[in-house]
Amino acid sequence: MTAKAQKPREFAGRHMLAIILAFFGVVIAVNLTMATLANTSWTGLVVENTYVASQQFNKKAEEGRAQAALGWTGKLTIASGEVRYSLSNAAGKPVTLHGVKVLFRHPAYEKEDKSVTLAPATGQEFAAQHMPKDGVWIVEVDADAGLAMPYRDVRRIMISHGALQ
Amino acid sequence: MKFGTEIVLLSLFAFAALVAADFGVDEPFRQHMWVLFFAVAGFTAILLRNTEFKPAVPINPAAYMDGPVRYGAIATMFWGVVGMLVGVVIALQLAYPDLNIEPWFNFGRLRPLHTSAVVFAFGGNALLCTSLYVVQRTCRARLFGGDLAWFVFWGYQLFIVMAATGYLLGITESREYAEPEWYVDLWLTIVWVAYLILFLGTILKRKEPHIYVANWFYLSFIVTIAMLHVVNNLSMPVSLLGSKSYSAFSGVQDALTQWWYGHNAVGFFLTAGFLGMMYYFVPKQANRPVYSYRLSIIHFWALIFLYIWAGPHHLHYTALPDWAQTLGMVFSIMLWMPSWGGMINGVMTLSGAWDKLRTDPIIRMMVMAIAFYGMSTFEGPMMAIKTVNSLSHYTDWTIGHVHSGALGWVGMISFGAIYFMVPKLWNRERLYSLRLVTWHFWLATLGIVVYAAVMWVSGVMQGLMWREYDEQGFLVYSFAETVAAMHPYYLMRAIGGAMYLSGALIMAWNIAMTIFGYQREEDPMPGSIPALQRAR
Repeated sequence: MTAKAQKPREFAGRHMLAIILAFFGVVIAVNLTMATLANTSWTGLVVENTYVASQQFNKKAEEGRAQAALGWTGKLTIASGEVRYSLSNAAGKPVTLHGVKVLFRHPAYEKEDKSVTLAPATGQEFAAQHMPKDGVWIVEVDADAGLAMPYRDVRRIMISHGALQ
Repeated sequence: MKFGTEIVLLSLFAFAALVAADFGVDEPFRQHMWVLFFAVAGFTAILLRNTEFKPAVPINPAAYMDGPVRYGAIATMFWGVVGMLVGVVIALQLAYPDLNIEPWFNFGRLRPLHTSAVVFAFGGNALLCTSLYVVQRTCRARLFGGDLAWFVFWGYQLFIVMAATGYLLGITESREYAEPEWYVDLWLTIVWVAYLILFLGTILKRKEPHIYVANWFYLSFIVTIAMLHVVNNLSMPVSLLGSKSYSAFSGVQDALTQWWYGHNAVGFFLTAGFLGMMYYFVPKQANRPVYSYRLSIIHFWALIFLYIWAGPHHLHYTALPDWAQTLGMVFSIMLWMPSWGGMINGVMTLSGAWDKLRTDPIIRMMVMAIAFYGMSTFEGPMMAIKTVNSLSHYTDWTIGHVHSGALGWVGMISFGAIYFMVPKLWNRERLYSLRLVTWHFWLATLGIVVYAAVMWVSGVMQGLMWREYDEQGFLVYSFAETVAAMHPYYLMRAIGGAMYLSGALIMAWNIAMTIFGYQREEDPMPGSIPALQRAR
């Protein structure tokens, strides 16, 4: 055996530093990747802050009951690239509207959300040109009927071949 | 008469269990009391067989009391193997649901058995025996209270047996890491207070003016666990002879109490106590002083002040008030600093003696433990961030994180401490085999690496599959499809766990042979015999 082979391989601080850096490099890289995935994929959040929403729940439920007590019925049609909305009262007579806003919310992708302002059309109906993509949408209609709060009509709808099913 | 009082008291205890086994109001309680009766009666019989009527040999008050420490080292090894074996079994149950054997051995009952066995039986015994070993040597005082240490040791084993058999019988409070029912909780309270008196009494009668930092960590662990255990388990039993109780809290208060307990069980049981272990055994095995004693004090106080607030991060996006969720998240992120303070202090203790990592497998094991401590205390704050948690929660990412802490940090530092203590406790020149320690080291390390990597991948896959929506606004995967996709990962996880278990079995063999006094003839570790020094 030569003297060279006898020389002990010393494990020094720089080796330890390299190992520690490699180990934590992997750990930190993986964690940052996962954190990025968490921040860029859909979160499923319906409201920004569940606790604050829970504090407003009773007030909103009260408003909902008051609106339901009116007995009004909203009519939403989507076909041929046109969105139409009208309201009728308990007696079936049309309700005079001053403005209608419709928010199309995509269930998963916020950037697909689209707000459409309808304009007066025939009779008491309001309408606008808009063709939502096929699939599921959450539609939030805010109709100004001259009450303290806009009449609010929220539905989960399905669009197929450009028409409301 | 040797054991006279003990035999009388234990006979009465066994009789009480027998009465309870007859008058119990529900079937599981009666079965559980039979278990208690046989455990206590069997123990009494052993004492009766070993009793003597010769006058007792006077005890040397200057000598350390190492009997309970020796028993504790063996119990640590025993429960470690049991707990890890159950872990491999439940990992396989997830991969092959047919392995669920009802009613006693299905996943729902074996899972708390696994967590309690590894945390409280393996980890608890490791903490118990090392704390009693360390406090005597750093205080230069014999354990306080005569046979109190024996009561604490055997009382704790009885708690483990009652908890474990209770789970299998279906008796549970359903509180994470605190599943035992009210009567077992009361017994643990008694044992734990005795442990506190034992530990504190020994510190008070110390001959060393300074209280070494390891004792501060152990003491914070004992005191905090007492507080957490009592508050979390406040409950009202339905009957004094029944196995069911109801929590004193309800709703979100109950959830917060449980996670205040749950996270601090991690913080004070699995962290503070084991840091105490690190602060004694790493410097001893390395034969070097602690890198920075000042840092150890700072990170001790920072750690215990911050940890207690971190629990709400388990309840993100729940009915818990938002400020509490934010508080939990912020304190978790701040915890990163004292945690890494401890890691740096542990690793840097080897500063200037890095070559020991090549020549000494025990110190290598300890340093690997500290590295995994650093890993899990980096990952923890990351996962406590609310938006990250929205993906990671309920997925295997959490399981992987827990195991990098439990297998990596808690397991490896305990193994290192046991390897250090056993030859000294039984007056052996060295371990049976250092080569086997190297085998254990590599099996354990590779096992954890497989486990953690697989859980990373499967956890993120699972989380992303749950969220996957298509263009038309429909969920892409049903839940059953995400479960089916996990199968290969579950299998690999079981393999990682089995590697870790086989390492522990090798250790059990090594420790047993050391205790029996054998030494394996083997080539010394390279470099462990000092080579001729070059002239400097």
